[in-house]
Amino acid sequence: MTEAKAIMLENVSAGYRDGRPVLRGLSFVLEPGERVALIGPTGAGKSTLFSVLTGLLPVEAGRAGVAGLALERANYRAIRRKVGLVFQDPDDQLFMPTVLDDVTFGPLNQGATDAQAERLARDALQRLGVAGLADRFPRHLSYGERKRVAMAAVLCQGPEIWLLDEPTANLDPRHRRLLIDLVADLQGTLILATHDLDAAARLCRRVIILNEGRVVADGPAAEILGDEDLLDRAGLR
Amino acid sequence: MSGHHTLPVPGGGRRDSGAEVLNRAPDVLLLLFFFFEVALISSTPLPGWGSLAGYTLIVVVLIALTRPRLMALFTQWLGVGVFVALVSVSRLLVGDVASRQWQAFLVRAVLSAAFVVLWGVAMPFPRFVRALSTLKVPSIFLDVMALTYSYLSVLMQTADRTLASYRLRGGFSGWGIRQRSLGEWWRSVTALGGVAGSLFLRSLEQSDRTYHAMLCRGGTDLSVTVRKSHSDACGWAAVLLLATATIAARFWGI
Repeated sequence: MTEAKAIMLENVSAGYRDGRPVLRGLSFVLEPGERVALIGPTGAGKSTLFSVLTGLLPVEAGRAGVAGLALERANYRAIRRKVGLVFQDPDDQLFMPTVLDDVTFGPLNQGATDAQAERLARDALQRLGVAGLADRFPRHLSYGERKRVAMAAVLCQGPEIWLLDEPTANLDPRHRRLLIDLVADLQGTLILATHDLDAAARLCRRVIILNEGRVVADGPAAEILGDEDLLDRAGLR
Repeated sequence: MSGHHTLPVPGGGRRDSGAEVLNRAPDVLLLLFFFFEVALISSTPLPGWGSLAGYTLIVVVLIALTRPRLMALFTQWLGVGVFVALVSVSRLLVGDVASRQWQAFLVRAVLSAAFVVLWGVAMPFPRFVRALSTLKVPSIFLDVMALTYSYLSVLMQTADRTLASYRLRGGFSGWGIRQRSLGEWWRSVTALGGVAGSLFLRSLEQSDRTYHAMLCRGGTDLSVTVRKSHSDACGWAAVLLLATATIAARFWGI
């Protein structure tokens, strides 16, 4: 059912353990290599969708597939090897005592040797411009630096599908620009959850608007981001 | 943990503080130095008044290390040397063992606290973990330590922010009951209880998200460790040297 599709959702519903529904009958398909901006007001379900796509929250109803694999418990580990999720708050993502330890965490879990993992990590840190921070404690870095380290941690795993949760949030203009440039260079399928409509327009050709757990619009970025009434109705302006 | 500072010296240039000097020591040497001191503290017999004065000086040195502007003189590396020497020789200053239980308790408590301060100033946590790794401490312990440290760090930062917000809105400003009515005081206490509760819940949520981040990067409940050995000749020489010194000290009853 999911062959050749990077992501396939068909009437997917999901919610939190307290029974609160967040996603309600969500459907869309992403082709490999496609880049999509997922926009919507706070609480629309963007982060929840990412949790579902990485198997952190179970699908309660409907059918879903990621990277050609059905989204079910037996496939969670395989899916997580192909999907890279960058959390909105880097403090949630970075947990090891040094930056290098943190960035090597993923490759080592994928079976890389110490030397391979370190090389991958240093390459990723280099690409993100934070190679000099390898021995630092992540919590002692600036927010922008932590964001880049969090990206490096995912980059060195070489994901096929990128899920970026508000990558430009809380960044100063310079770091925001840097991060947008970095995202523009990423290879693979990409979903960018953001409130930053400029970044969405620059990085993605397709936009999906999510509101109250449902897709309210799905189409070319220029068309959707140019529809002021639609953005108003979705609470995005 | 921010003990990195240098001191201006007459004639220009900068002289390293004690903490800076310690920070340049090989990790393993530094770690073993600390362990050696812990062993000495814990095995020190009950002290006499002479050694109490010595301990007081130790505390002064430690305060100087963490507050260099107050007593810049003591922040030279010799200050650390004094600390080491005093702890090391205190075993020789044996007082009346039977009658000074309280004194021993007090001295060891103060010394331990001061020692932790010195440790925090001189050896950042990542280096501590790396040194333990070099000493082949099982990685599961190091992982638990690292995660606990990260968790505490998150908890402290969250507590700081929460309490700042609480104070800025007229919350707790001291325990003095005279400054406010009993009702206000009680309201502050109950509100602080609420702060503590919400802090606990927020830390649980954060740890949940961190766990999710681990899962997303291939981690499991029995996640592989990521630490590598950073062995070097200097480190291993230090291991041998200090192990020999410890055995010799025990053998001769020093």
